Amino acid sequence: MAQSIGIILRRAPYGAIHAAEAIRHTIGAVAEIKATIILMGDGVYAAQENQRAEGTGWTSLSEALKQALALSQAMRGKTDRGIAVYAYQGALADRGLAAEGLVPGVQVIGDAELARLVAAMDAAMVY
Amino acid sequence: MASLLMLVASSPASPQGAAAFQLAESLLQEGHQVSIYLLQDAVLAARAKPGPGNPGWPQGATLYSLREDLALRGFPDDACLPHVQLSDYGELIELMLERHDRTMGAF
Repeated sequence: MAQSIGIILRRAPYGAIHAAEAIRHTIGAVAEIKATIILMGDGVYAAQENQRAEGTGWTSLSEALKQALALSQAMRGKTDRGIAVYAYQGALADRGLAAEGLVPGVQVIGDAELARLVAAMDAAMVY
Repeated sequence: MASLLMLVASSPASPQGAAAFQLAESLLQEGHQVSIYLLQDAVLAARAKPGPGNPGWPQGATLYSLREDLALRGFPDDACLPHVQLSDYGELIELMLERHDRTMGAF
């Protein structure tokens, strides 16, 4: 059985269902295996802090990511599962986003780390 | 020449978003008055500087962005570029029905 799953998110949040589904699947997957989310392209916007969804009917994905990371923190030491969230530096730079403006716990990675993470995934879902 | 309001909902990094801005350029070159209203993912163009992931602005277009969609994506009012006017749904309706000859969208 696969030990880890990678979720690669390339689409911006809210304009389409992909970002919400990516985070939802990650939270679901971690019940069974280790899960990694890699944010690339417009997907890096999913990690922007302070997404204000009140009154819109949307669920804030920055809050959903925080909950996913908190869940992972709670699992630490009890299982070898957990959730790691990475944002690709090149995509952040292209969009003028700073690491300081991201949800706490999201790690910024470059090309080499990106390649290492993708190669290590037993299975990958691309949104 | 007509006054045209283009509604753009696509991310600036998408082919659809880039094509919308290119169309706006062409319309401006033909002498039309063009306003661009950014909503949904297109509001991301209101806060990022032009770069590889973001097309440049059509010169001469009047630009609006839906404030609610920017806030939803985590960007406060002061993250918006100064030449983009923050707007709400009420103004969007007014722009569509009263202040432009035609509305096209959403791209």
